[in-house]
Amino acid sequence: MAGMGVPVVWVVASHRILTGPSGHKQLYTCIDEVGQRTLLNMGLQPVSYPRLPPDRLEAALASVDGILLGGSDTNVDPRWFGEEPLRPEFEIDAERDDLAHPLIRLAIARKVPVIGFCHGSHDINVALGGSLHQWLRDLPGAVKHWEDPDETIDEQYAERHFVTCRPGGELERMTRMGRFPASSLHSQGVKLLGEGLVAEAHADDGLVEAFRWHEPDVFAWGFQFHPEWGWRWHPAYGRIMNAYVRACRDHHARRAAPAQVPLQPIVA
Amino acid sequence: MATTRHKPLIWLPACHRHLDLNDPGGYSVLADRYALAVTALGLQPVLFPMAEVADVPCLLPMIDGVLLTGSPSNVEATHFGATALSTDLLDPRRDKLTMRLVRESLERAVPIFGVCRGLQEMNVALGGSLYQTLHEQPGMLDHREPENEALEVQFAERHDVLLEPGSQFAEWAGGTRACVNSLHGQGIHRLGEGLVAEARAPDGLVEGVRVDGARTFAYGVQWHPEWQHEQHPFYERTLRAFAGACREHMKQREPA
Repeated sequence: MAGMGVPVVWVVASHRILTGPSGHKQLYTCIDEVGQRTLLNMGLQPVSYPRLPPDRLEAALASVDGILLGGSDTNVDPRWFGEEPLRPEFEIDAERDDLAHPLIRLAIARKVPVIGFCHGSHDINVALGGSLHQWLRDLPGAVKHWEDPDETIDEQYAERHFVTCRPGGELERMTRMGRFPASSLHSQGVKLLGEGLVAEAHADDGLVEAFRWHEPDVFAWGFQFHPEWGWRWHPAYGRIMNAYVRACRDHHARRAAPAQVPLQPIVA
Repeated sequence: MATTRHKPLIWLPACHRHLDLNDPGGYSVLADRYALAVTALGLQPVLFPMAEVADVPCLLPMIDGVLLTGSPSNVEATHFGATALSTDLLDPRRDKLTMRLVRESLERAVPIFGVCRGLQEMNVALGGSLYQTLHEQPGMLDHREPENEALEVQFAERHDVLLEPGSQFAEWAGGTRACVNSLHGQGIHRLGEGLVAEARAPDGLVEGVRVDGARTFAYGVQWHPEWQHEQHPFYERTLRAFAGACREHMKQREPA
């Protein structure tokens, strides 16, 4: 599955310094495969544009039907919301921040569907002027939001606590559930919600777990949990992913003129 | 549209690896220096994460060039009738994709440039074979980079290559000899069908090839021209020739 006639989703990559077998340490563009597999399985074509110059953002955005911002072990730079990093070991991905923030704002303005998971939801919040808790473990509260280092991958991504949808809200409508268990493996979390964003679900300690852009004709959602993991069997995750895919398909239908192909070259 | 200037899209097939043992699932990764070099040439790198063999015919019409990058992983020896070594770092998904991508790019006249592992992929895709451990072959140089050295040392020029007189390689180098870096354990043994050896190391190893009869740029090199190419005229001219072919391809792909 790929190619013409299929909605194209721009996956915002992360950047990490990785070590090769012979001791090379080099900067890599990294894309988490779970998100990609979910996109492919749902009939979307993932694409990523490494090192895209800022002046080509608009043209590149015009060639896609959705934006996906996945999780990453790196932190959004707290300086974006006026704080110094609390701990020296926080890894910052400046290249991702520099692309993600203007891209999110432009995508919302152009009504291109946006979905963010975990770090990706933090990208959306900070891009719109919000702020983050830097280290949730320092906060008093009964909810554990983080994984243990000795857990297996499946244990890390298992549902760790419940989230409650805003009664009568959009997430409740989308998932047809008022409360559901969610995965939780993060150290940052929404403190002040960005401008134009509406909280749609909270953990029992009050942390924002899902939010959206306020305009109903724009699909722009951030999720603190990972609906791309387990979307086949978790009903809320499945319905969230379906809603995103529908938004991308709708955008694709609007974008596709008879003589147009999904991936146009980027305009200088 | 005549006044609109496009950037050619260059597909760089990703490698697959874990960041470390604690990381979920796998990752599709691209060494940033390739993306930087492609961008510096006025081209736009593009990744199609998890693209499979069946996607190649759908994706190739959307792009203007293919750059097969180097990688810490080796081409799996089963692709040339041998057995992988227990010490090999493998990337079977990349192998599977690129074996088809090489042949299909040549058929469709999409510019293709193979670097290090990329050259080896071109060779194997066209029926050639590889030495699995060059340094254990009698009479061959050790082509590996020194371990535990700084990158600048590992990527420093290490040996000459002798370039076929009259070839494009000789034109890019401005002579029939150039000094190149060397960071590989595998190397071309039997040359693939339609490949012409145009650059050789002093031990005779084929380090630069051209695809005979290709209707566009179709070259592979064992060295890393993306490394500090702006300071190395031979590397830079090689990359610029690839970029020129990609621009040409885009003109043909796009109605004026």
